[in-house]
Amino acid sequence: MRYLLSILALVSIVFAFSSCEKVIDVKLDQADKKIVIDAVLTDQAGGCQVKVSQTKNFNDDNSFAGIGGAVVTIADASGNTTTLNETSAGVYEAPALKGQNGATYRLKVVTGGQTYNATSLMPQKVTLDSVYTTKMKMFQDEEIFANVIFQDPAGVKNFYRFIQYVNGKRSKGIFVMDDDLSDGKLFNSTLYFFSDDNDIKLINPGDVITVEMQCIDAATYKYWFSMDQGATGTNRSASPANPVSNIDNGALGYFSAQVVQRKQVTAP
Amino acid sequence: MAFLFSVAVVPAMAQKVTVGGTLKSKANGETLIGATVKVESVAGTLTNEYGFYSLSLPAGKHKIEMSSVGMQTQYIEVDLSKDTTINLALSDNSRDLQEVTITETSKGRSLSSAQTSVERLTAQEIKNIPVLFGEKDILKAIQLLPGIKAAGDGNSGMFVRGGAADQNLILLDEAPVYNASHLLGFFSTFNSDAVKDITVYKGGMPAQYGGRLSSVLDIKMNDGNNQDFDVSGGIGLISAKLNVEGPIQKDKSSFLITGRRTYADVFLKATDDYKNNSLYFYDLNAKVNYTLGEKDRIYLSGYFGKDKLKAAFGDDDGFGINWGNATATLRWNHIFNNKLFSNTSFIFSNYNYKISIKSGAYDFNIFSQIQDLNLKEEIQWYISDRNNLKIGFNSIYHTIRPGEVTSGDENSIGSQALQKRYSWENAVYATNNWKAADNLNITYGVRVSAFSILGGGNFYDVNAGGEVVDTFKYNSGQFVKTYVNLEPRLAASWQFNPTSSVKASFVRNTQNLHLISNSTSSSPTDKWIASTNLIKPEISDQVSVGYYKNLGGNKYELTVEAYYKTMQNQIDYRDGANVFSSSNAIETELLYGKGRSYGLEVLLKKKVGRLSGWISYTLSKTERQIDGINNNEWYNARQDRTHDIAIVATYQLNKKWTLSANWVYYTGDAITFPAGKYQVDGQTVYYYTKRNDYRMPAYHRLDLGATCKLKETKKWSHELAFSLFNAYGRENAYTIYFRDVKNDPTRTEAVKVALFKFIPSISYNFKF
Repeated sequence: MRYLLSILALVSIVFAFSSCEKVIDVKLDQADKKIVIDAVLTDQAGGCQVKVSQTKNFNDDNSFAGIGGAVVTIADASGNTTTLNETSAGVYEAPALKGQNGATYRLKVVTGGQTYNATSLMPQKVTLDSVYTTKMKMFQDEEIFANVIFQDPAGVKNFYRFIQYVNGKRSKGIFVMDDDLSDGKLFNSTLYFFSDDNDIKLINPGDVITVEMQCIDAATYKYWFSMDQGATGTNRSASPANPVSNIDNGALGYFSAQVVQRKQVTAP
Repeated sequence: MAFLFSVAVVPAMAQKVTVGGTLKSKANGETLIGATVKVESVAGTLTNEYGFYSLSLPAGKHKIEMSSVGMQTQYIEVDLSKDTTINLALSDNSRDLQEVTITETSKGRSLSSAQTSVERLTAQEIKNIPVLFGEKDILKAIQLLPGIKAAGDGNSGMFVRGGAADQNLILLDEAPVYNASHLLGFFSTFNSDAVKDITVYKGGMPAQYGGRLSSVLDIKMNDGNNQDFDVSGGIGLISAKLNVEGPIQKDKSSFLITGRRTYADVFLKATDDYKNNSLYFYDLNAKVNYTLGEKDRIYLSGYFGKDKLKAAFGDDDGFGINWGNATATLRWNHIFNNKLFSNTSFIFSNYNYKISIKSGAYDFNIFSQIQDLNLKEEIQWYISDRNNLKIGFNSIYHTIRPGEVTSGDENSIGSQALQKRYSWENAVYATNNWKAADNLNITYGVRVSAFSILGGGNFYDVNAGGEVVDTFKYNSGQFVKTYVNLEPRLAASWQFNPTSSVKASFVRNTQNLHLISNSTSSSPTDKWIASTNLIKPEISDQVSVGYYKNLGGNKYELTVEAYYKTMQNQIDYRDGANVFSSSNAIETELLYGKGRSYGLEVLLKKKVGRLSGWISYTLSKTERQIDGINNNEWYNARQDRTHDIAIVATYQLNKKWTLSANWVYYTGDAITFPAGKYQVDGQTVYYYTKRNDYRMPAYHRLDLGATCKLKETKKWSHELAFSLFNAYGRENAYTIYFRDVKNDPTRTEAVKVALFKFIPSISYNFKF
């Protein structure tokens, strides 16, 4: 869809009509509050964090509506269970807990008399070989993008997610890839993160770009993929919908046991 | 079997003879469709789609009247003792116009015909309606009629009586056109210069049509002038057009070639910043016809259109998308005798798109195609003055290539192809127009459709969770499954006084080709898929009733129709479906359900006079219920619109100037807005509850037009056409999205995007 938007932009340039944007008031009904679980276990110590919160009304502020007092546990297949400690309202952590590649983990959250369960498989590690930048001219502007190179292992389904920081500031957007059309290939991929402000470029010469690569399981990929299609508020999907969650009992959010690596590069 | 009965009683009455033949235009030899042939208070009929008529009369003296819109009416006095052929050419009215006269601008609706829910427009009628960029567009014009709804700015999709955009059977000289849009939907593929007329069936489809649920758009191309050479053309803001037609052998054969191309990309090439981008479309219509004698006529017509769009990324080609339709129709009319007419058609139809991505390490193409080979035969038998029977069959072989990726070896993307899908669609039909009494007409018919899914390839069983649980392998040519459906078609009209009638109809339609889309606007990459062992044929049943009245001495025409329609086996994507999956089991991404739609349509048309035009109003409701969506509850379809109004007016100021205006208003589309929001991984995510529970703001727009005839003689004419699209600059919502406030990320806001504000245009047209 992003590609089609570039064509639409071209159509508007060629036919000299300008689309105009206006902030409008939309009267939105209030819905019952829903529980949100944002749970991550990584292959590194200090990476385990579970955030429990609830939905807010559209016109409320964006601050995190944490729910304290929940009982949050993560168990491995052999039944070793770790209880996470609440470090601030709604944030639960187990600094020493890290996952093993190929192992399945079960998350259990008990709050408000309800129990929510999810399982996630920590994939094998696929090494991020390198990160480099390229310059690309899109219409009149020259943009800098980060690129990643890694070798996808053949014969197994792999799913990846990338997060980009520019001088420590997280770039907006969701970037996930799978090897559905690329099994066993050497990936050399441009991370198309765009500035949400037309007047400011996302990456300028001299900026330090940090790329985080996550190896995730199929359910987590589905979560981010469906969020990108339907719930970020920006796209033109026919039917916006909640992302497909791997947590039961109607909770929003996801639980991912993921392999995390980072690399840095300075834009020339 | 009522018609057999009436055949049997004919000999008992006065001796009957049949008059038959073909009506044409004297000026250019074009056959006249829907022209009236009648003997006052004795009998009357209309010419068929090839200009053929057959009229049963008692032997003796008669004065036969032959008339058509824009033509001089002719009377022929005959003394009939045996079956007789009368071929006639009618003279054009308009050429002899020395002053502005009150003439009929559009064909009257037949009060007596049993056909309900039909709209017809000619290229002539839409000529003056103001349009975006001055591109006359017959497909946009019909969207100003009740029950036919435009999908909105920047979208050529249309919704007929609550049906989806893929439920319209769009036929160009009988060939199905799978994507009728140019430039992401800003324009339609039909170059109005090549089009003779368009007929839209919103309900009560005659049995010769089938394969789509909602509507039939039957578009006929001009045949080509077989009297004189004609060159006409125009230069507009975005495109240039040229039309050449003329006789190959006078009176016997003619040709027509019409081409159109946008040229804005020429200016792109001249700029440094955009020189690698491209953006254009072109189309070409061509037709030849040959009269082999009194009884045979052959037509060969073709359409070819292409869009090429490319947004370059740096020196790389970037993102490109090309798509196009190609159709070819070979037809043979044969007149056995004055009562028996036959048409045989071979039709080829192709639609494909190709996406190319070349950027950095990526260099690959995605290709998809649907192709039809189609054979049709229809016999029209004018049995008596009370019965007119049509029987026929249609056989189509579909080949679908859902998706093929090609790339170089050095690439991150591997070459692969989804299984080709083959299917064979057959139908037989019979339909009879029975004049049960002088003021009662009944059309009854049936269409039997059989859709066979053919191997080879794998077919699947999918569980409720969307996982493949079984795979069945079929060899090439093996029958996987055949869906047989019986489609009754019934219609009746009762003309209870000379100026009013009531009509009612029932129709069942089935559809075995489905367009799967996950975006709000139609996109060239929306996927056509055929029914499979799991994807069942879509079925619709529609009842419509109508009241028709001619007012003010036939100056005005009032139509009021109501309909109720149910739809089975409707298809939607699951949440989070991957459209470009390498999986052959598309069923894993789909959900099924049903739909219903009902409404009231009112049309008041002024056909004659300096001021002509119409007011159309639709009140309607369209809902869907799909298991797995919206908690399995009924929800508003996106195209559900409570009110839809269009006012179209053309005013002939004087010989030189014609002014026109149209105004549309409709309730905003049903849409899903967030019920709340939350934070995940540091980003704002929106929380949704009910599907399509909100409305876009109401859409309204005024367009103005003016045409100035610079010169008009018998030999040549030229004119300037001006238009102003969206005259009062209403910022209609193209989309509404939600985001964090830029300068204050702790809050969120809704943003409306509008595409057009005042688009003026000018075009120059000539003809000699």
